[in-house]
Amino acid sequence: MSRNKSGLLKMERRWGMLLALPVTLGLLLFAIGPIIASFGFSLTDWQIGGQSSFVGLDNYKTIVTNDPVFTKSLFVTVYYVLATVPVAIIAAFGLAMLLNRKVKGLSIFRTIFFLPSIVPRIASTMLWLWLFNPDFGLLNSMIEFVGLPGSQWIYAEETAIPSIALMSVWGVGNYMIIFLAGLQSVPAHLYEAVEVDGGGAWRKFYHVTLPSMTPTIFFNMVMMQIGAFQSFDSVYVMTQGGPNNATLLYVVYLYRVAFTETKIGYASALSWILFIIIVVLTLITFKTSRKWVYYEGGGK
Amino acid sequence: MMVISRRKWFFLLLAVLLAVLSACSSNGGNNEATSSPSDSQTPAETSEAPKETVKLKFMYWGSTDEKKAMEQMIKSFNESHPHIQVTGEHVPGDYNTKMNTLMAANELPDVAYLGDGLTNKWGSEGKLLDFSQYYDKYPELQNKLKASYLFTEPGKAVANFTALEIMVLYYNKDIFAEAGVSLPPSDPTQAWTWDEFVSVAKKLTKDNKGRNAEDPNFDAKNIDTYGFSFGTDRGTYGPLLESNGGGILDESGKNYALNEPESVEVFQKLQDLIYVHHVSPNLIQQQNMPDNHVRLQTRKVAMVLDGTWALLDLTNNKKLNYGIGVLPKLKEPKTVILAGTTVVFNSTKHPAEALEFYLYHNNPDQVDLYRTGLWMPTEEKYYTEEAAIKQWTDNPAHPPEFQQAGIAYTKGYAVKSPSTAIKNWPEINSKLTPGLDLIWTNKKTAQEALDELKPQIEPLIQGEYPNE
Amino acid sequence: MSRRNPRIITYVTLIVLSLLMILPLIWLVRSSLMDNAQIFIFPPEWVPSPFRWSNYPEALTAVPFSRFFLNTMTLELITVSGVLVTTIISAYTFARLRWPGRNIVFGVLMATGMLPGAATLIPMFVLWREVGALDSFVPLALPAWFGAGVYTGQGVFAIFLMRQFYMSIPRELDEAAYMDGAGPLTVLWRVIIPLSKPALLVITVFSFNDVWNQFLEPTLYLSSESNFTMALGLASFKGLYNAQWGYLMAASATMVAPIILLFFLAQRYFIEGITLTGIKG
Repeated sequence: MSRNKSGLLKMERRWGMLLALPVTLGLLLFAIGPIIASFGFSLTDWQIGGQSSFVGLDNYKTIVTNDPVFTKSLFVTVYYVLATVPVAIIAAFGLAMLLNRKVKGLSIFRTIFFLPSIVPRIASTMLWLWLFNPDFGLLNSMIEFVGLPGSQWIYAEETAIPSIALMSVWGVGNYMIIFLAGLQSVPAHLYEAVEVDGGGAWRKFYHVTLPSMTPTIFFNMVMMQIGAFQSFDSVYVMTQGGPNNATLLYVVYLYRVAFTETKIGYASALSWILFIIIVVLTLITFKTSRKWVYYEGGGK
Repeated sequence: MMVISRRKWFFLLLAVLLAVLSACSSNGGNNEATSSPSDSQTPAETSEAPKETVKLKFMYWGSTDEKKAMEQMIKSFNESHPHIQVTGEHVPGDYNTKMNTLMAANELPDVAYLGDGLTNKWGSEGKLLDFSQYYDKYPELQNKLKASYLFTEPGKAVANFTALEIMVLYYNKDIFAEAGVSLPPSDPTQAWTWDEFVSVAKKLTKDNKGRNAEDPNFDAKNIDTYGFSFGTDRGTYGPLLESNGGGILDESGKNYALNEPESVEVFQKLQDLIYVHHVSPNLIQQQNMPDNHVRLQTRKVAMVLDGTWALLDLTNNKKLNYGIGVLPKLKEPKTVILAGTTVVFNSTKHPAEALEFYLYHNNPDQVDLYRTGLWMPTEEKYYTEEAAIKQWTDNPAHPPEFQQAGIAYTKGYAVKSPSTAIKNWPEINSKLTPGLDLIWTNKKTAQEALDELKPQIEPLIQGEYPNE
Repeated sequence: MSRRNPRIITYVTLIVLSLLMILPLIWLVRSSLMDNAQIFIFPPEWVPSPFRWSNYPEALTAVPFSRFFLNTMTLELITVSGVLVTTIISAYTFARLRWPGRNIVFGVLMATGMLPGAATLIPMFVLWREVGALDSFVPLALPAWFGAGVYTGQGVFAIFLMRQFYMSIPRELDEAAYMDGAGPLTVLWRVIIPLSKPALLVITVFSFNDVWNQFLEPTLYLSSESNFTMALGLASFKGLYNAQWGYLMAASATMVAPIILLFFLAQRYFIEGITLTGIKG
């Protein structure tokens, strides 16, 4: 029982749409409505508990032209994204490479490296508050031991964001795991081919591992980008955006406007601006991905 | 054939899933049937049919201690009021987000805890029950200390503080004894002047060689014990502004007043404690220090400024020999009341019953949070009648000096935190906090920082709420 | 000799980094055996004195944790199975099957993950109120079956991750199976799933972890204590004016143990992936 090409296409079509049914339903039921609603809110001056009236694009206008806090928080966020994503990608990939070898105690090492991702945030933020402590913290003790001057870490405007970035890089266990899973899918025969040609470890990495890993690298890049732009929890607990708004990440500002100042209309407009920024950046990443992401399964 | 059976399998799975989910949800629904808001809102059950059991929902937050005390209170209320059935809903964490969501979705409880900012906002939007309409029916509603009411319009009381809390000075008695310095006064009329306070703080601040801050060789970079530590929020600058006759806004409530001399002086004095006198940890060290009771116990700090709620933790710390004093004065001895409120939402179908519960929910006869030190009563008699005072203060959580530094201080010298009366305070505060950071980090003098804040704050000023 | 050096370097690097990574766990465990005062002593003390073992039984009975555990496990079962089923089939259709509108649906799906959650919090809440699903597990679990969970391990991003993995499986494998007359589901079941086990494990672990620690949504949607999850139980140790840190830490330590165990067991299968791919590829 063999199939011709058009029969195959027809079958793919039928099954493709059927299998996409749950997700499509999900979009219609759970996503589209609330998203449209939030856009609707962004066109009003609604404050929770108060009256609301339609103000058109006024919120957007105010944000872009007359909200210095927005400008600051956008700057802080972009700074944070730039300080985090490249380093985190390299760190997660490096760790995954390390943990993909046959070393003794591998399972224990893997588990330990994943710990920062699973320990409740309340424990890890308390730990980092101590690490960052300028007077008694572990980080300054180590730095001063080597004879260098210590830092004020999250407590000075200049060093606050790099410190938060450092903490995020420490928690790359999630991405490391994804890389690790990706490394398992690199076809072994490709390595054998390089070995037959007499290639060493570097050639194996450069000609096999790296190209085969591009889909995973791409995934992690997109995800980290989105995640970093929406980063929120730790900063909210540790600095509440201070000192002098130096760590006011975009979503921290968004929460402040929405749930402290209760200006939900304005906050919705803020959300949509972030949304547009992320969508545009992700689209760019997707577009450029055609040039460097290599799919064994034959591309998009 | 195979394909068909696979498809069947898929739909079967989906069906099973939906069945499981609906079972779970109806299960959840059953557990909650008694308190589900749709139940309490069925038209048949209005307060005009007194025989029917009225169902109320009360939302609150707090640690497990507080929760236990509240559950006990709710239980005894339900037992003594057979026609009212209150369901307590304890919200762990992120209360504000939940409250905002419930308000936005019109899914409100009948009675609830609320922060002062939201209370004012929603009170003026008409979302909260005006107590003054019920003074005839429930005269006890008027028995509270005047400063514990929140008014959105003259005479319109929309809330009452759940409990009273004022800002006081706590200290480690042992450190004072060792330094041979007399203890901070607990009598408000004897309050230290600022200079006296600074001089004591200097005597108590010790570097790692045991030299105090008055010693010419004192090493300000290696301080082991600080004389005094303070928070950087309204709990600290609030009472000092009051004491110095300054304010966030001027008398009219329409103009920014933080850059007036009386206000600037307060912030400059606080900045000087850190960077001139070296008796207080800077913002960085301060944020990194443990809870106040541990600071005192571990001798990181000799005196702290904190609210009366801290009595609970201070008393529980058995290794600490602490005392209470009044705050130093700048012109007049003053402190502020800073607390959350309990409100009745206007959306309730049963305002009378809700008020009945309201009066019960923070009655010291029914709630065990007063004797532990966490709460102070709001009702006047607990500050004036000997027996009533004894009822909540005759215990280890209230040391002898509390009679002066707690009760007399509240009665004669405590005013409602001015921030509680400022309209649009949450938004003003979110501009104020980053600007004040410049003072706490010594980047600007108080005058410069407060001048720079003026154009940012002024457009947000909307006046003040009345005080009665 | 030259082969030994890199080995040693590997081990030294691994051990040094491990120490850094294991710190929060050590911090958590030591804090869970201390009283409120000792936890915060500066500079910190690492050895509890005395060991307050009683934190554990006291914390676990201060709130009904066994009930919360059952609730959380029920939620895990429904959610994680939903994530797996939906992710497997959706990623497959996005990566492997050609149908009109595929890229649009995928694009919209991706976009839904880019709007900050705070923006849709209120409309979502209203939606669930309208269907009468407040104070139940439905708002927490049902979206996962439709690819609409918002967490890393659920919904959009799980599907995206899976799609990336499917796309790196050689297409010839499918085509060979189609030539033999197999349908898409057979291909998925016989070819794709066996080759993407590591990714499936990743998604299982992530979504399990997400549900385990999910906090904001349960806070919003659950109101009866009998429906609470463990994460909510944990939060109840923090009050407005004070917190029971010792209990909080003891309960956290108890909560984190099963996740560590789950991960420890799951990660062993990452090795298996290599050999499988080797043979098939």
